[in-house]
Amino acid sequence: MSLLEEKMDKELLEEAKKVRGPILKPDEELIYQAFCDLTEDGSYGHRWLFITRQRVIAATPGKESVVEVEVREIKGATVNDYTGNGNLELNTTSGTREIVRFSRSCTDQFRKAMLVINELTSDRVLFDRANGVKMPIADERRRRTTLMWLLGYLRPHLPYAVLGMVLSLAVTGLGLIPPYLMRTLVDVVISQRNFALLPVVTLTLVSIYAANTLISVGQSYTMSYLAQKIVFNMRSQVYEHLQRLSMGFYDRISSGRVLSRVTDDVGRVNWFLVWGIPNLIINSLQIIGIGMILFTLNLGLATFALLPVPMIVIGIPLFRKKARRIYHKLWRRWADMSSLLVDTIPGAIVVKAHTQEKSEVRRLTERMMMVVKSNLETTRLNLSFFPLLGFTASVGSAVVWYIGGGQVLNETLTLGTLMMFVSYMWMFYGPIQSLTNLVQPLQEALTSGERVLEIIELQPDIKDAEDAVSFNFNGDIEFKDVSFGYQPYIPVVKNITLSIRAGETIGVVGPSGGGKTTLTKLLLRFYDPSEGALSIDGVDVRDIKLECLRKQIGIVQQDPFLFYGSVAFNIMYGRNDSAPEEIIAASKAANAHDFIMASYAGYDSHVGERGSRISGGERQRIAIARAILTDPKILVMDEATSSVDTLTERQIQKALENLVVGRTTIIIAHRLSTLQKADRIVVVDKGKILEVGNHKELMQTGGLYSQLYNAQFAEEREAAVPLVS
Amino acid sequence: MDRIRVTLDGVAHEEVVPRRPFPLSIPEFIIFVKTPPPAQAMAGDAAAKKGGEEPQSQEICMLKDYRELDERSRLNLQRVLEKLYFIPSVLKVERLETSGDEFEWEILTDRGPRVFHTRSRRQVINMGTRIVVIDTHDNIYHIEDVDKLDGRSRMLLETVA
Repeated sequence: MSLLEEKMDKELLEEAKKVRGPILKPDEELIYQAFCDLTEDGSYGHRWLFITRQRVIAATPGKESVVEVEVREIKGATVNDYTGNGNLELNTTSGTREIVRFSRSCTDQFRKAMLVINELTSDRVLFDRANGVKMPIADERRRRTTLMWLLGYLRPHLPYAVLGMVLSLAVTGLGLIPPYLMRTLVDVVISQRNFALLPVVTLTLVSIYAANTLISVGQSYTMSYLAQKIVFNMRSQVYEHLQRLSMGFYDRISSGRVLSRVTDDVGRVNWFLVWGIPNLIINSLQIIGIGMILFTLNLGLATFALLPVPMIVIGIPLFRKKARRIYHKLWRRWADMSSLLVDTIPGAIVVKAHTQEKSEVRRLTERMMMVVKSNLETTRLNLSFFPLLGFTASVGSAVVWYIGGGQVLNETLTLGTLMMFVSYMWMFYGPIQSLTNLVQPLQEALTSGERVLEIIELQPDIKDAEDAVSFNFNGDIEFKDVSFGYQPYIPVVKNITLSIRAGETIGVVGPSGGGKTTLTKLLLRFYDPSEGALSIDGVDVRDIKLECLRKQIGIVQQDPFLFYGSVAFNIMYGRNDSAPEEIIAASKAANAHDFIMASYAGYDSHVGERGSRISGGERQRIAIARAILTDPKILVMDEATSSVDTLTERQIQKALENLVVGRTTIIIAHRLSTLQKADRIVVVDKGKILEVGNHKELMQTGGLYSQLYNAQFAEEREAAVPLVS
Repeated sequence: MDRIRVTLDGVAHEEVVPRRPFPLSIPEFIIFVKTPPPAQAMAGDAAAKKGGEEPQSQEICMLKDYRELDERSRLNLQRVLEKLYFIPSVLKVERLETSGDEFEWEILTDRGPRVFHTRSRRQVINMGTRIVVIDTHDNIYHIEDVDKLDGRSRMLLETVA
């Protein structure tokens, strides 16, 4: 689970153990420990915070003196965020004191520490215990498990894997025969002028090459088939798993990173399976086979033939290390150049408005020059190594020529054997070189495999309870003392209590960031509240099957997401078995039918990339039609009209009036005029409910609602003037 | 003549326009509407900005499959539909090549030869053996059954569809 939890390597854990050993009393239970990367005087170093039931202790490895505070003296803890660093302060009976300082890399751990301390000192708990108090665990995963997991994919295709192996062996074996034939050619056919044997030798050679070609084709195809099957399995497994994971996962890991795991990492694993493993096997077999032949043929010569091997085995890793640095530099510069293009071409209007064309050209030229320099650098590196490597190998063969030639002259060696030896020798260097080259990419591929495995092993935090139920909703909703935060230590919603009757229309208003949308996400169970409970018709949402829950709640978001496809496809998204007349009926109710019919292919018109071909208001109404089509018992409108002009809003408003009948409706709105018909309006700010009542009541009490309403009313009056002209 | 008279349950409606909500996927599905259709190409939005409300069309009825009408009605309807929905059938693909980021098509349709451009893959829509092609100006062409085209046309189509 290293993906989501802080990694702490073994060494650090060992250090923590060593530091806390002499400090803690035998009966003192450690509740939390956190590593901090700044020392007391503000220089980089190691320092530890330990929290036990009795004490909060800060200690530096190798130093006797510790800072300690008794828990009963502590009134509370705070984490302060400063630029580039922060600190944890304890508010004690004898005043406030800083206990540790840390760079921002450690902030999260100390936020947790703060909560642990606050939990110890008070009885109010505002966070998820499971997340808040957890000992950092070492990342135990070994490469071996990844490898075993990868090989597990081979199991269903075992016959192909065996066939591939057999064919690889055959190719390697056949490749070893031609030099042997050459010896026969030289020693028997030519020296002994054996005319009869000449066609036999040549024909054998041809048939070996023919067999080799055929088997190679078979081997490549088998390997590729196998790899494609495996990668297909893996990719669909990862994708399926991603769809199952909860929203929390998508919040914590950016979609870019998720995508890169599905594409890049799986791709690298693919490479490993298609190319890496077969090459690893073939090369090893070749080295063993040729090595054995060389040494049995002529021990003395074979030793000389090995001369260039250290150069290859030592030189290539050194070269790769250097090359890696230089190539990374090249990639970075390449990225610099393309990011400038990606930036300035869509920003053409800004560039032109500020007449910065010349300076943009100059900026790009500078970066292009950097790319040229880097490219030349890689060329120089390649030229400094590979010719040298080739030369060393040639020297080795020259030595073999000299000594072997002498042996032929002394007639201790036949000419044919020498020639055979030389060709085997050249065949020997190839696999060594490619094997050495394989090491690094193999490691990278294994790392990628680990990253893919991490995702697959991740369990969704929100899933059906074993005894979860399905039933038809009536539409009563009850929030009971609900608290929740996306990060356990920052609550977004605090102690919300609210009951909504079936069929009621509830407006939710308040400043942005106040927790309005979060309430709807809790209702759809994208997240579970950290405290309190949320129930529908008296049943806790955690006991309702997710499918049943989400099917009966329709949601229209502020910026509705339309998929690449036709209008009909997008409306049908929630219920793909809808009849065409149902689609039309839903669109009519959403006030969308007329504009859809007016477009070039009616409901078959394409919405364009991410819905860009249609306007915001139209997109909104398509989303409303999508929600209507599923005929949900509970409807949530999350700022569905905030991004459209007043006229469009009026049209959407009309659509809504059709919609709320017979449903429990929650309308989150920015424009308060939308809510005048709501049965009750809930004013939410900073995660808390401030007021509840209908428009009239709230205007009379003169709270936040009336302030917001008056401010907007004044705004609209001002805005109305240019509208007329 | 692009208006028809529709008699529904004994009541005659004049000046009715037949419209296809799903011209590509369910061409047999018809809605009969009383006001003239608004101008093409997402006119709804433009109209809303200019005139205020979107054009209100008065709907007479929906017809799930017009092919089930009697012979005379069907032919009458078809004549009007062919005018309102000009979607030529592709008989042969003569040439199909990339020029820049566009594809240039040269085809023979049941309405004669035609050269046009498409820009991205989404302008070529596969529906089983049916293919619908929408050009850069939102003109629509369709291929009833790819398998019935000649080999060369099919080979050319392979590159885009």
